[in-house]
Amino acid sequence: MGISKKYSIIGGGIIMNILKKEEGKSLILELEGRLDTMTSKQLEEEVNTSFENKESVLLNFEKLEYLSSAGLRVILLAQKKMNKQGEMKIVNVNETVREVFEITGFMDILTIE
Amino acid sequence: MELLRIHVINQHTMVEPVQACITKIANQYKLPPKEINRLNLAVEEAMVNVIDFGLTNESGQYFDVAIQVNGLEFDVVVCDKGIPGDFIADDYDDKLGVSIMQHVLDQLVIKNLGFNGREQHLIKYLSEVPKFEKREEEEHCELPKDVEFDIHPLRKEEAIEIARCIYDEFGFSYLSETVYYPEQFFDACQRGQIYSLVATAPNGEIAGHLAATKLEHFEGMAEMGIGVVKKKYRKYSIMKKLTNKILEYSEKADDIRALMAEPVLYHPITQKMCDYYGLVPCGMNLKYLTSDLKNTFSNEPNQRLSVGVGVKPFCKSEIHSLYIPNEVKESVLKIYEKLDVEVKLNKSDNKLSEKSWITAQSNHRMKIGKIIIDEIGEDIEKQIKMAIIDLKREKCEVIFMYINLFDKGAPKCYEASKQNGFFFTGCMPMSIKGDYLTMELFIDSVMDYDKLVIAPNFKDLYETVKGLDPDSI
Repeated sequence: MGISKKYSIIGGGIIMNILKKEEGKSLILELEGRLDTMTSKQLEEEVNTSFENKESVLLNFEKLEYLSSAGLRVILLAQKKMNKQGEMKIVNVNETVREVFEITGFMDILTIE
Repeated sequence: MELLRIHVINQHTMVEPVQACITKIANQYKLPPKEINRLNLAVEEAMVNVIDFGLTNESGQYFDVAIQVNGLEFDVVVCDKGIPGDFIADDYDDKLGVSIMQHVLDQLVIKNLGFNGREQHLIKYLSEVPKFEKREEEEHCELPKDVEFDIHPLRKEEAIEIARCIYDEFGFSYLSETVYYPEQFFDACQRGQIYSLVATAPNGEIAGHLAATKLEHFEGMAEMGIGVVKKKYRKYSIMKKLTNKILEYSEKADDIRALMAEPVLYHPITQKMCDYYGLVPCGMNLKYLTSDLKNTFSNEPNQRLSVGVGVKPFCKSEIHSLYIPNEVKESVLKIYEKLDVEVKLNKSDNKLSEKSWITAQSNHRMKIGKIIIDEIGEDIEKQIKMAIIDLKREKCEVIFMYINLFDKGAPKCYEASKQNGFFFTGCMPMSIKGDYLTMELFIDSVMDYDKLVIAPNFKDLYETVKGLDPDSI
């Protein structure tokens, strides 16, 4: 399994990490920190590149502390992509992030475990 | 009260530092961490609205983020003077951001101020309404006739009992809601925003309370209110003693130019008290109080109740240079004569600046709106229309208008307000910023003036207001 880590660095402070684990047609992304206006571009880049030819994607949000609408849009993009080529699951969502999914109706369109 | 204002460049990188600053201050005000997170989420959405849609894409443009605490509201205001537009009504994006803001905030108010820009108010309540239960009335207390009640400024441990007394008397309908939150009420007293006096019986029991609250939008004026005397202690002239002390304090205070009171207009006693203490009838706030108010003088629920405005000026030596609309000149001058304040009448030359400066605010609990107009420009009619639309959208049942009579555009503003259904209700003199003409607009209702109970001192004003209300019955 290949493992790599990406960082979003803003003003000297790291505000989101993406730990990527790839094995064949499976991909696991562990997000750490904030998924917001600044860092969502970084996840979007992963969706556009690492998601290619993947049939199973798992997003682990155990260490994701914050999610805004900019992050939601990228998650939606990822879900749409995976609807065509396989499945996507989100796991270990904390209370704060879950609330954002709930109030925006995303609980119904995403697979959250 | 504004605590902080940050001038922010239009870059997304600024969101997190601003959130950090808000977190620090919200912590000081003991907002729970979960609520701070929710507020910060709305802050990002509001800032992104401005950066992505409110301003042009050019770099080096700025907007402001201010933090205000108004009573029990922690209000983050994101202000920009960018491209006019409505973040809620217009189709900028998929509305995800607005949807999040509406869910995580206690109130989201977006004010489109035309040339004055736009304000997004992100409001969290500082605490939930405490749970009070109405207590049984106690038997009247028999004390010696010469009994002395100790009168002193509020002590921290007394604030909870004052809240309970107000609840026993008014339920949750008292306009100034700070009083229901003992900690914040005491803090407001400590900051000097409220001067609160408590009367205690010889056994130490709290018998009564009265306060002078400095008015935020009418700097230099204080309102005498939050008055209550427990029924068991009502024959010992406690309110009279408290009123004398409040008057004495207000007259000596350097930052109080006038004291105002709002006597109820459904019973004559508080109007007569105004007369006794030298508060001059200056105006009427019709349909001011919510329908669930039931107290000593009224048991009629399901109707909005009205109050008068009485003012006692302490700075009489100044000459007030005013622009008074012709239609109400006589009535206004009569009020100033009673106030014993000299007026210099000015003539408006019709040369107004391009833009107006107006403030529109609403109280959701009381369902009232206020429009305060300090600078009147050529765009005043448009500004008034926009403010009415905003306040109607916020479900206000009555809108109160304050027009600064120091501004030469006051007569034009009066006519523009009349065109929009407002009518004259008096004046609010003596604030540092100016003397204000007051007007009112009822949304989908009319006033039944025969239901008001008017004491002789308010009779003149009552007749004038009734005569100018186009829908009076």
